[in-house]
Amino acid sequence: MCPSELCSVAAGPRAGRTGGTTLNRRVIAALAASLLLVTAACSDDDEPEASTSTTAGEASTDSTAAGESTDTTAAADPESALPDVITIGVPLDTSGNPAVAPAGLGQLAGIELAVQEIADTGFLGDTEIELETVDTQGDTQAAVEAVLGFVQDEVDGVVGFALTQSFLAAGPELQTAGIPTMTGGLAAPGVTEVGDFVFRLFPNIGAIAPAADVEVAESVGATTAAYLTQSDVATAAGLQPARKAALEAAGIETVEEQTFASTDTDLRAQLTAIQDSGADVIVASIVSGSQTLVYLQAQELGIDAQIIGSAGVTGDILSQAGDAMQCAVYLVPWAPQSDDGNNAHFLELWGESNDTPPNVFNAYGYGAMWALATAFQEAGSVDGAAVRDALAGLDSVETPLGDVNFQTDRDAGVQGTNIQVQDGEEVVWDPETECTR
Amino acid sequence: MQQFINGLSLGSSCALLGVSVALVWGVLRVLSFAQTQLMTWGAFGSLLALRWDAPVLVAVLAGIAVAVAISAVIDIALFNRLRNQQAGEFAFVVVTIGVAQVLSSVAAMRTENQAVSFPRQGFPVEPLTVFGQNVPRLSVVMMVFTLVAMVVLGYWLQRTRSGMAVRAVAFDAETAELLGINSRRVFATCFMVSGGMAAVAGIFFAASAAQLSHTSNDSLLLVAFAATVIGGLGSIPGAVIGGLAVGMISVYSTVWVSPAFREAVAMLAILVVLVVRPQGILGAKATERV
Repeated sequence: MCPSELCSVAAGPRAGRTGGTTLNRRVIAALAASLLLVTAACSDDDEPEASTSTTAGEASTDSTAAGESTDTTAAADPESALPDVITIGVPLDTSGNPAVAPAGLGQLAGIELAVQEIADTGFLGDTEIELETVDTQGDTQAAVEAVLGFVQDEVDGVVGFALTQSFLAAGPELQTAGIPTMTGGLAAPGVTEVGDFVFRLFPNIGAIAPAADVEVAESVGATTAAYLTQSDVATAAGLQPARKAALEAAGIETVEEQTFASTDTDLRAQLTAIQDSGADVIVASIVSGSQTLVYLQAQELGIDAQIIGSAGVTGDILSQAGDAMQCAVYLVPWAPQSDDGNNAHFLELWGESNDTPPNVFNAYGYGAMWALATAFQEAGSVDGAAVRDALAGLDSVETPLGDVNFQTDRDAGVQGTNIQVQDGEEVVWDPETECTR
Repeated sequence: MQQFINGLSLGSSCALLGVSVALVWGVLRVLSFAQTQLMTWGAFGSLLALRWDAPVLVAVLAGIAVAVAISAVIDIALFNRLRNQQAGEFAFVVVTIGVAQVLSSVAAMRTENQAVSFPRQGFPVEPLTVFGQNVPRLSVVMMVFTLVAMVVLGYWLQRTRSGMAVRAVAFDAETAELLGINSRRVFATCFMVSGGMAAVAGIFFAASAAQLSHTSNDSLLLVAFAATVIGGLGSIPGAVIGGLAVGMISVYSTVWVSPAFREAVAMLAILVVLVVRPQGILGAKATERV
């Protein structure tokens, strides 16, 4: 008979043949229709245009023809030896882990906007830029395969990458092949150290955030700090030691360190340990997709210590986290409030074709593509060494992140801005302005 | 004390999913890898209703309906065929893995691999303060729901005619058929109930995190299996106890050992339970018929 324990439905061996064989196709059809309805609803309301991404190993191209020049912003050099088509490899994580994909998708949108503008303005004359976009899926092996594909296809340059660990695995192949590479969204150290063909627009956050952290911590009179780190993302994991060292050097004692993984959905245990430590400030080294979770669960636990977070906050995150992010401070390499570089132009251009405001990923995708295009124009050819030298010699390139050059270690040297969330809005942090929760 | 509450909070989530897995295992003898995707799709169904300004209760029901519909399709279109062909248990497991992949891929495609906002308005998300400790109100609701579900399932299985039919089919479907029980309907019903419960868990998780993605619940699959193994495969109360145990183990291993070893410690607990009491805390010893 059936097992005796209350409610247990476990029993003997499963029987073999069970019931009739005729399927009720009408039932299936009706249910399938309901599922289709749901799939239609799964997407965001603001669904962007179809992506050009493909999975690794299945590179596709998306060319944007250089249209007629609409202004005289930068007329092409008549002596230029640029070919009809410049092929740019774009390795980006546009699928896979949702904690990382927004960075890839955002960059891609920025890159495509830049390519369109380069074509529209005739910046490279009759030369058109063709993007060979590969979705690296947040996977290191996929990134390596993508780069090997670029080398085989003899692309003229590469712009992209969203994960430092993927780049560090794949980047040496680009260096060996002599392909000029402008990394977009890599915030960890060690990027330009791969070789002289590698440049970075996005700053090494580990080099600039610690000083900003100290400034914020001292402004609230902190003497102790706790650290929460997303340990499976190189950018976050690489940032934490530098932040800790800077704060300790400033006399701020470490009282707790906790980590979590991108797949974790409950951080209450870590946050409670941090709360119990009584830290005056909480330094959170986290990436975009985990920000909401951290802030909401910290608020839920009644944590009121000053949180010094990380870049990557988007409008969606502000909306999702709501007042849980009130007074949080974080350093951003790009702020929409900034009037540095050509940010105002970028905001206007973005607004012409998008209903939602741009985020940091859009900004540096746009800036990185323009920087590389400028180098091609300066070099007047697609010879890798010539483009590399042109990039290294650029004096001042206008980007949304400011006017930059790559003359110091091939790093644009962007310093960033401390941002504070006040009443759901991002404002430039001012230590004199009191923020109440 | 707060960590104990955190453990109960996490455990209540694990318990609800564990009950869902236990029901499928208990009746269908299928270790379903699709349960976390049923959670996710149930949450997406609820999200759809919320975007249409439906009240929270209606949205929850909509999410349940979506998961139940998917479960029905899976059972009618796949499981039933496998049963008719007398496929082995492994075939069912592979099918659920495949279904999970398909559901995940479709959701990923439709959401462009991004986490989408899940509105929390109307959900009980404000924390309760009990004896100076912060208790997530949503977790309290989930715990109450889990306990109510356990009692209702128990009553259904033990006290109702249809529940007796379920138990009969679980024991021996062929004999049950000879006694006039429509085993096909029983299998479908159990899988749909299980899917509905997974959906509720998914909706609570999404509301707790204020966001939802195609991978939101993937990490919970192992947790759910751990809950059912510790509690006793197929035992509903065992799944609840197992879920709470897994929650506690996860929290205290995070605090006392390392977050990096959280899953490892949970798996170690499974190993210990399997060695000491192979049938789990409340599981029945397997009987061989001759």
